[in-house]
Amino acid sequence: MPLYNRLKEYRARLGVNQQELGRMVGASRQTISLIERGDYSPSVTLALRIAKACGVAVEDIFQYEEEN
Amino acid sequence: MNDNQTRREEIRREDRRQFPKFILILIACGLLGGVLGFLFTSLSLASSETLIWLGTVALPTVMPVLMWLTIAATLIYCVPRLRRAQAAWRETAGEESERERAADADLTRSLTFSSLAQVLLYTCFGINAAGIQTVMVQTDSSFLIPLVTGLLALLVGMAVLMSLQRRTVNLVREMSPEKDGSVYQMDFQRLWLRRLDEAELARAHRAGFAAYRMGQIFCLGCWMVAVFGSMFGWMTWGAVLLVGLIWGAMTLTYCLASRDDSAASIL
Repeated sequence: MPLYNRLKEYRARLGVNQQELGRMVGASRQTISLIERGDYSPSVTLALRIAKACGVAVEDIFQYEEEN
Repeated sequence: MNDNQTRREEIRREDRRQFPKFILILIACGLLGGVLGFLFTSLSLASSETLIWLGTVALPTVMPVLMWLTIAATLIYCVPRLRRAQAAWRETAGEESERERAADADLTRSLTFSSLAQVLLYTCFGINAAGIQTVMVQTDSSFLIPLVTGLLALLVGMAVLMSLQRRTVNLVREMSPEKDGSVYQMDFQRLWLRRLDEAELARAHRAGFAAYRMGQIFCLGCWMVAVFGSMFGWMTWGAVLLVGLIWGAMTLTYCLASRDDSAASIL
């Protein structure tokens, strides 16, 4: 099942750009962009760091998309 | 039958299924090797003087021209792409856009082109340097002109490539401030690797494995050519030894890096 994420939405709520979020979680701007586009699934560690930076639970940002 | 025995039986069945295809491929490679060997023999017997002339006079003379063309092509291809990437980056605000993705693509193409140009430059110079035999053995000092031209092209080429690669790396460092290391540092690659995040590291490992696989195939091909070449007098045993050393170093590095312990960290 593909991983669905709402990272762009939460990042906008946080008011930071991709580079700033990358700096906060120890990832590059390109990786944040890849995650938002759904082209890369982060590791558990990175997903937890992203969730902590956004102040929400991991499941709020990353979910498995149900296949119809 | 317990699980382990079932698994062993499955493995043996898979091996038995694949074995005939493997034998057919080995036979086909052997036949191809035989055909190549026959062609090599015919060619070397028929035209050994021509080949020697080609290797020590014609090619070394032509190589400096190819080297200068490579330098020109590298500048024509890489400089506009680097400028475009720089301009696109300086207009962004830390947010990835289509233009920035295009800049990343430009940088990748520029780096690929300059890396290939570097290999071509060194290879051409190596062939050009074979012309030294003409000077030393036949005392034809007029041959020093292509040799000096080739050396000059190599030095200029190295300076151009170094400058391009420095500008590319510095732009990437501007785009990704977490990246460390100056291209002038001897352990630049190690410093760079240390700063890759998980996605970049995964990409680097994928690329490394692809290069290793291609290297294995190429080394086998080069070994065959070196063996035939030394059998028929085109090369010496040094060529076979060189291929063996490269193949061995590559295989050992891969095996050590694959280990799950401290040995891997040495690399």
